[in-house]
Amino acid sequence: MALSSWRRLLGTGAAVLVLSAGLSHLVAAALGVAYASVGRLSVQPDRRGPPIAVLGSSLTLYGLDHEALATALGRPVTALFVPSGSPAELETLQAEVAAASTTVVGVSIYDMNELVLADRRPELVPLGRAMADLWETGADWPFAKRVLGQYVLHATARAFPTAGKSDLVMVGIRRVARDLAGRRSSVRSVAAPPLDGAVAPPAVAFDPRAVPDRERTLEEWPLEERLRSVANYRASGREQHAFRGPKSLALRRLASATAARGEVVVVVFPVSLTYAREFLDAAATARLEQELDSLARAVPAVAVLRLDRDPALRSDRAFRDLVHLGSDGRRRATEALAALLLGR
Amino acid sequence: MIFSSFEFLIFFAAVLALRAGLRDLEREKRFLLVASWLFYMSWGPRFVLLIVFTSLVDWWIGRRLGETEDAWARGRLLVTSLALNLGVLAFFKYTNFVVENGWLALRALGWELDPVMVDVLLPVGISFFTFQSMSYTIDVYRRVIPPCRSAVDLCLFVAFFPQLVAGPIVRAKDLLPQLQRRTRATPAEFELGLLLFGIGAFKKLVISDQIAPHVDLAFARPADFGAPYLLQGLVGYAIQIYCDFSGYSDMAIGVARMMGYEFKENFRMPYAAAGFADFWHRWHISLSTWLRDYLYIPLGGDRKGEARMYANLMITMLLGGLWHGARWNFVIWGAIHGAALCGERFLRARGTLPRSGAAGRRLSWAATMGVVLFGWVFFRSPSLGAAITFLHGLLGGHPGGAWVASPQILAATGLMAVAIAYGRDSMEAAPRLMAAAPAVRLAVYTGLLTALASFGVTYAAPFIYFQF
Repeated sequence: MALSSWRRLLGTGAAVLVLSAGLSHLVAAALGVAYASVGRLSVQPDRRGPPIAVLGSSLTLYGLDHEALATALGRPVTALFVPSGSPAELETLQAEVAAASTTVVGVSIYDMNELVLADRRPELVPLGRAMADLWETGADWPFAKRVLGQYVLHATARAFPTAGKSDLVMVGIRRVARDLAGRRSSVRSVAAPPLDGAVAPPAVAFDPRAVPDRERTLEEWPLEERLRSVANYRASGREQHAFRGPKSLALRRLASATAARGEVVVVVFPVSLTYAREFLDAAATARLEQELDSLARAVPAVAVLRLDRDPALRSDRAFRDLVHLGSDGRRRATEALAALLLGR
Repeated sequence: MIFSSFEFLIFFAAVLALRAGLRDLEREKRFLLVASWLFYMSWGPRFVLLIVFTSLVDWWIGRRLGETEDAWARGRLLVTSLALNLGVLAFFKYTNFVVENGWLALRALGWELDPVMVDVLLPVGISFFTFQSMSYTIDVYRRVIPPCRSAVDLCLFVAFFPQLVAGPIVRAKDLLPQLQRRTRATPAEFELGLLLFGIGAFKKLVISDQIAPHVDLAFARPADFGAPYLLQGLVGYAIQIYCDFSGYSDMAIGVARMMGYEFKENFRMPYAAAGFADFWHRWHISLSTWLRDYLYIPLGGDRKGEARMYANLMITMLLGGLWHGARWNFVIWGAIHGAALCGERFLRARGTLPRSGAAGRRLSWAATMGVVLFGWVFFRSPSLGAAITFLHGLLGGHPGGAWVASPQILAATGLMAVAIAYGRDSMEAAPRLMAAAPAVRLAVYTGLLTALASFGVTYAAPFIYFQF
């Protein structure tokens, strides 16, 4: 009697799992719920010099005008972007651009913050590598748990594709609701600049709950939007900063690997004044400096472009949101990088 | 290791599997005790010694209470237990507060000294396990229960992991007898436990954690917002703290039930309360009954005249507020509830409260919710100044303040309204659901799991009551 009851309970449990997994797939498909994919961009100018590879996160994607860079240098540019990415993921991807004689790696105090974990990390960083890096850097258990938890969630997401993506589900619902109401969504994924025709454009969504309209600078944001964006960063634990973890190790390995086949430039992108005021303190910036010092010591061939020290890029006017440069900032950053590469 | 984490699911699955293999009751209890200590150590290993120490001392005191009939000796033993438990609680929870306020008082008296501050770390769940341990010795002293013979049993009663960190505060008379027999959940009990766990996870991950950023924003910068957003934030907080804490309680009760143990309900749809006494019969029931049985009644309750009853109510609620944390805001919150309870009793005694009827009930409900929301401003605000700024804005003091609608809070408010209309909390709703037709059960369980998988926030935010 009891055994059959247990069997019945197990049967119910299995049916619930299967039905829920099916519903989760339906929800994901109906609302377009998926993490932003790795962005690939290829620009071929008229003149053909040695190829340049640009690796970075969305900060690099929006921080540089890749077409203008290729034109100014007369060299083809191939760029790879990982949303919310860092050297940890780029290290895996850099094999795709092994033919480049110059590699530009974009980082920032936001990217290098160990507490900001890219959604795609479990797909790009093998579990063994992640565990080895956690061990080598002496990561504490709460942080290790967060990193390893991503792998569990990634495995769960095969059955339940909406798992861990509640933000995207909410964005999807709002988009569908607004579409049904016949209104254009003000909260939407922001498409990356036009990419090479062969590659599907990635749907890059940085902070789905607070992406501003494209043309506005952060300075022009209404107060409530700015406050909400700050609150979203805070709620997802991104207001704290930690360094000297797996991302640091990966940056050194990435710089060292790319230096072996040509020149390497690490571009340190700035963050907005609002971000700095809300989340950064002297200790966080000092730790980033230590990070860059240890990179310079480990790989002396690396050239470091400190856009974060450019006073013109410290204003909210240069930004489209808390961390991504806007058109003015992008122009200035591209000119600075082009000048550096032309001068070498 | 919070209930809503993968880590806990692995831990709990391991506990269930290993426990199933144990055939001996004593071994099983030792195993559960070690598992409970390991669970606590996941928050910080060193404070487990505190639980072990207080449990062992209370076990010893309980034994001595059972051995002597001498009233004077029994009194001394009880005082020793109370002094130990309250001393531990006072040291860890209130030292910083006392020192800080001591320096402020000295400065107010004109003493210009360089303040020496201390920073005593607060062990997680200390308010819960000290109250639980203390209730044991009081009950033995009152001869409500016999002394516990086994140190393992008492240690397990205090440290049992489902209720260790944030309650419910379980009484010895309820749990200790359950530890005397090999308990296993029947399929129906397991299903009920799992369902309660699922409902609790829904409350926490889908409602509380979804609205948390919007609530935090309102309370972090009240000066920047106008009345509509502040009201939205306040209503959001009321829903957040209910879903967070009652969600945790549901999960704790569910975990225990899956192991075959029964805990009493801790919430009974408090926002459906029509009156302050009614509210406290529904909110954090294990604490309110603890305060009633071990503080209010020993103070004299309502047996020593009306004036004394009001004083007893105020003392109980003030201490209840202070129990939540060493901040003046909690004291004010306690005072608000104490005053409301006194006012209600005063009016009821004079027959001026609306007695019955839908209109009277609605009026009582509205008045109760108004005061409860007013109290939450102090409870949630980081300081007294911030609470006053919040209230000032709420009353229209920030006319140019920002305003943006939060769909999450609006949706949660709608859900809450439906729940209030339904009128049954998890402990009442879950058995009814289990009695429904199989197709209905399947549909509800599927919906619950899909909602968790689609809306559940995976950034594991700690439960609000862990800080208490």
